[in-house]
Amino acid sequence: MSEHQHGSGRCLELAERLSEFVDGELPEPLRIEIEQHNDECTKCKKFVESLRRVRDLAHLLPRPELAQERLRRISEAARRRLES
Amino acid sequence: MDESRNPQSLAMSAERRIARRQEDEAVLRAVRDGEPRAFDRFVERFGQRIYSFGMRMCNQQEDAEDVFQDTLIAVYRKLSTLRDAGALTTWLYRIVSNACMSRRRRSKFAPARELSLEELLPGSEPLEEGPVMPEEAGPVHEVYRRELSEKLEAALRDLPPDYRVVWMMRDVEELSTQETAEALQISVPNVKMRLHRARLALRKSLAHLRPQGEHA
Repeated sequence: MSEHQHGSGRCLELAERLSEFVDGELPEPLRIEIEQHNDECTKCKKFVESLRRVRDLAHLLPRPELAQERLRRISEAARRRLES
Repeated sequence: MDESRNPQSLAMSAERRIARRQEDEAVLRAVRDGEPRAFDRFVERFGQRIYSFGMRMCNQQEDAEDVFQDTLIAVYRKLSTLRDAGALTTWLYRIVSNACMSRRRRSKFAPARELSLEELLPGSEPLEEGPVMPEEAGPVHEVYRRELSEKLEAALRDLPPDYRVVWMMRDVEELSTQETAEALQISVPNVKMRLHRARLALRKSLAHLRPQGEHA
């Protein structure tokens, strides 16, 4: 049996759907096809893993925060504009 | 087993999202119904979230503060006219993203451009490259976490706003694909396309980042 060569047309076609794959949003037949494809194509499998890590990086970002006093002042200004 | 497909892990994450959504909607209903202290509750619940969303979209503190104030005023002026009580959170994100986009027209916000799939899919670099997560970085964990976070912020600033806003809603705020489509008033396939390209662009920007001592 010949070893799968990464970079085939199917690798590129499936690459367009990989975010949906990591989010669990694909129809069953395509999800199964990608799982089977990744069993044969190590590079596509690693690509999926890296995409999943990128998705999870969102939780690493600290939220920029506004000082409470500044938040209060802006809210008060908005309240005054609403009441005027 | 792949943790992200572990049914128990997915269920916990879904439960957390639902609980957060219910608390959000309770505050928005209080505003809509004109309850006493609803204004303060709204600021307490959403103030920092709206500000940080504005900061990431506009990259300027002054613009982000204006986004927060514009959103607060729009919520108070328009919420009573909203008919679908089940879409409060989606509606709020629509207000916030509109406030950000309207700032974009007035400030030095990055111009809109398209990201082509061809430029984002791996070309000359080996496919397996991608960022290493901090928990895999061993003793340099904290230093690497900071570096990764700074590089991610920079990569995010380089993303065109139409893609950044989708990434923010889906991966940071954890809105569903359908909710993001409704908030931005674009189609579901368009949300999926922009999210995928945003992730590919971030992946490409971070692909060579490794903890100190390791080489890509």
